[in-house]
Amino acid sequence: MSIVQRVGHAGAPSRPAGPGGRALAALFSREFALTIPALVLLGFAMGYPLATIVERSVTDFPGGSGAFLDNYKWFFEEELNRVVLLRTFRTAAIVTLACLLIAYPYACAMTVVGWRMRLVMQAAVVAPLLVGTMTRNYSWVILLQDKGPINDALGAVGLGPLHMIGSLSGVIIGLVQISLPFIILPLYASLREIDGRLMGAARSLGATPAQAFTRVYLPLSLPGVVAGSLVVFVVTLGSFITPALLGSPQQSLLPQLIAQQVNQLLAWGRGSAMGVILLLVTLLLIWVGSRASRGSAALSGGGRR
Amino acid sequence: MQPDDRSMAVGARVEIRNLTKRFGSVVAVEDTSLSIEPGQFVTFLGPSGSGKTTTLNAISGFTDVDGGEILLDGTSILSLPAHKRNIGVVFQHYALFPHMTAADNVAFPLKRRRVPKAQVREKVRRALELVHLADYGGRLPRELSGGQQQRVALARALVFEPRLLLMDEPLAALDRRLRDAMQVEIKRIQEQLGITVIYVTHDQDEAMTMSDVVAIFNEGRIAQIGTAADLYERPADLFVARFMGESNRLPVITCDEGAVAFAAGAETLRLRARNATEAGVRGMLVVRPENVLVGRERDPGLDSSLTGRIGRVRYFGAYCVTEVVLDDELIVRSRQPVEVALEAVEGDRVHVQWNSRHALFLRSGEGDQLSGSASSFLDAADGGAEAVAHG
Ligand SMILES: Nc1ncnc2c1ncn2[C@@H]1O[C@H](COP(=O)(O)OP(=O)(O)OP(=O)(O)O)[C@@H](O)[C@H]1O
Ligand SMILES: [Mg+2]
Repeated sequence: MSIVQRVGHAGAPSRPAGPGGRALAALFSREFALTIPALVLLGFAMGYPLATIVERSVTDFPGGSGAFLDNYKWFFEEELNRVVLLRTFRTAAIVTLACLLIAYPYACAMTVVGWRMRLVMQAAVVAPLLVGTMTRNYSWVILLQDKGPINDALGAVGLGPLHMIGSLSGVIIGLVQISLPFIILPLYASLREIDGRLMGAARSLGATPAQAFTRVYLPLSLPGVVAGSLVVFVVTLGSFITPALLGSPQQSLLPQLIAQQVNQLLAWGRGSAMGVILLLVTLLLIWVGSRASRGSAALSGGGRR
Repeated sequence: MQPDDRSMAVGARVEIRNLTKRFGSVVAVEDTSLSIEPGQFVTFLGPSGSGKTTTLNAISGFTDVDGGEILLDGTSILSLPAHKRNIGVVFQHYALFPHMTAADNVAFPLKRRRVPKAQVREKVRRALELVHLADYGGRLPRELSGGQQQRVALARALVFEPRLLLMDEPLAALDRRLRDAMQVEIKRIQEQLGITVIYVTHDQDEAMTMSDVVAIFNEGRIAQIGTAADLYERPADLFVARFMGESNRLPVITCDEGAVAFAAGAETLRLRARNATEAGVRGMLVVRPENVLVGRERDPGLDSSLTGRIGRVRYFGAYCVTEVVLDDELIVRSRQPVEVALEAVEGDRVHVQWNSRHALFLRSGEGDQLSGSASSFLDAADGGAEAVAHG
């Protein structure tokens, strides 16, 4: 979310040069110095484990010995792995799209309602984050059961029962609910910056309300859309608990497969290789997303005030 | 956009009848009527919150109205949505689309009207030429200065050849010099195209120099409408007199036709004033500072005179403003070229004098609060008026 946007801005080519440049460089390096403790901590807490994983993925083999990239070769040769990788991406895409469809109107509404209503809406977004992840997942288990409240309600109006728990649809429902705050908040932050008076200007120039939306509002909201979607996509790719509790082993996602390799088969090397693959794909997506976001942010940045 | 387009783009006739708009309990515009001839440049001038923007928004369709009628060339436009009214609007905040280049901004209204591509390019080029930005089409709004952005906004509001252009404080965000240049530019374009313009401003000079007609707004109503000279020389009421330029205002009471009584200290003076009709009406005698002369001797050519002490003298280069403190601390200002102005020392006793041609009596309205001292002045004059009238 905001991290992604920062990345975009820091890379903008408009660093002032000339006499002020040196002072700015000094300031920059002083600021940089202040981040050193955090960087050291991150280095130990994340860098070291990450390095271990990468190392294991090229040194630790199930039979005891193997060639440098054998674990990676195994991953792409095994049919099941490819199916699961594809399923994981498909699920993440569906979850992201569903989140976007819910979050966009919600965030839009947040920008137009009064401050009281906005507080309520904000609280509604944040509150689920305060309930633990496990609690929320188990709640969904109860809600989605074949004889759970949702199916009861459907039955009462003569529908269903729907088989949701233990299927991909249950996983998607759970993931959407869990991911929503991660897209609504950045999206709202971005929509809030759009000058509402531009819509009036568009109307005065002959645009219907629908055209004012598609030609002006929507393009200006793209940085928020990209940032929010990216977070949801990445969070979904790496989610383990929700698919484990709400899904089925027959339709497992990549994180579950990794856990299986590590916990049940004790194949640390293979699990590590899978983790590295997931990480690389995620980084690639963030890079692409931040580039897209930078492009549109640069366009909308000027006329805000 | 070229001279041959003139026939196509003649201005619209605008008629506003009994327009009323409320926001909750606030009456933003109250029973306002106004008629604008084709090709006229009309300025709305008035204090903050007097209903100028609301009136403009009612015309452009951004706000619905609670009563009244708005006619464009005799046809009501109130039932039309904003995007069908075909009225150009320029905003104080430019409202350029930040994600589009200048050229795309200008092309926007043409695309909404499904103008063929080749024509779009040609019209955009000519519109940008009109505002002297022919080479800036490829720039994004944030790459343009404030003045350039506003000119793009102007080109965008004109490119679809509206017959009416609304401008709400378009130059308020620009600095003084740029504003002067833009005033000339806007006026030139309006005359070249012959369109009707309604212009909102806080700046009196801007209103006076640009407009054919100025409408002074006060609390949701038009206090007076007329040429700049009308408003300055013949203000209809005290509000307009106070709002347009500087004025000296002396609390007086009429004593008979053409004369008012003014309580100067202990004595009551009879002063001649235009516009005084029946006796016994309270109000103000209004004299512009440039019509007031300060002298040690009475000037026989000027028929009205008061005495007082010299107060502050301020030097402005081209002229100076001399304050004369009358008895009871009332101040009369005189603005005269430096050569004409009296060289005086603070505290000197002098005459302040004017020709009664320049003295206008205006009755106080219900809204005009008289200060305590003015009120006691009037009470003193009240007694005196009878003496003067019968004496
Ligand atoms: N959307 C609104 N909601 C409530 N009240 C409003 C709204 N718009 C305007 N008003 C009120 O209507 C009155 C007239 O406002 P308007 O904006 O027309 O004034 P204005 O003459 O344009 O002032 P300014 O010179 O400050 O721009 C004001 O009292 C204002 O507070
Ligand atoms: Mg206004």
